[in-house]
Amino acid sequence: MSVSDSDLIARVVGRDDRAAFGELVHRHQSAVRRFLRHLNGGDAAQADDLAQDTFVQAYRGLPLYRGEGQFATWLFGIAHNHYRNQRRRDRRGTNLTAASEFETAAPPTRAVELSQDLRQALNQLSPDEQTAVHLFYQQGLTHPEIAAIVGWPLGTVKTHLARAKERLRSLLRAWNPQI
Amino acid sequence: MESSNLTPQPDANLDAILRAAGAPLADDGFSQRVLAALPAPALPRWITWGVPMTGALIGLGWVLNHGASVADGTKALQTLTAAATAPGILIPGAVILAAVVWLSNADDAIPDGSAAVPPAR
Repeated sequence: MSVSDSDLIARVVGRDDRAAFGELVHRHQSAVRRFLRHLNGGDAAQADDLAQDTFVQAYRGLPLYRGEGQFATWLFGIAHNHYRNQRRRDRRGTNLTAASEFETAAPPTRAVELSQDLRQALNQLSPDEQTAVHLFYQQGLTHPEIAAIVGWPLGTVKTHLARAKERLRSLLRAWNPQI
Repeated sequence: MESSNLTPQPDANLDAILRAAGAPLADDGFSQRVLAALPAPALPRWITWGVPMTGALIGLGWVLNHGASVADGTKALQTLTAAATAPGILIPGAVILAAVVWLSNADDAIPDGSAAVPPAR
């Protein structure tokens, strides 16, 4: 039976058990790196640097973690803070795209077409709508969790998701008259 | 824009497509890189108070062994305290210390997780 996140966290906080922290990183690295790649417009190297900083900061801040929400949600909050700080420093105004999410797999032709259409459709959404879609569908977070991470009111999260979905539906339909 | 051969997708299908789009990333040594980047392990607690305490005791022994009286020590301490608390030193020092603390915390705020709500799906 695998050890729960809270047990691993207790080991890290109580005994500075680095192997336990390594297990936490291993469990959550994919979600955090994908989230940061999404925010960084697919820049994998920069996203991984930010992800590394996120985990190092999480390690330092673990005694502050109250365990009231999911550990992954707490990590997303740190990652989002890191991304905002880096963006503030860069002042480059990185465009948000969800490209990386759809470039990793090598599915069959029809799935590739669908993936390309979906990617293009997602790129038509506003950055906030893309982030809402990413966190809800790809990361499986709830509306309140998304609101907590990005600092939007709950209604804004729901509005972004509803608008994004409506827009995606209409774009995919427009590109294929059969829909 | 080139259209693909999509069949009509009800909402449930659109949801499924969006959920399936995020393939998990392999670790590829990422966890090891994070562990290597962690700060050095903290010193055992007894060292953090034991070393200064030992130094203080050695210093006290040395001073007493060289014939200095308690009155001399008290006088020296008063002189040091007066110098350190002089407005010309204390105020700029406090301002610099506050600025350093503020700057070091400004970019690295760590959420405590209290805002994160348990899943309510």
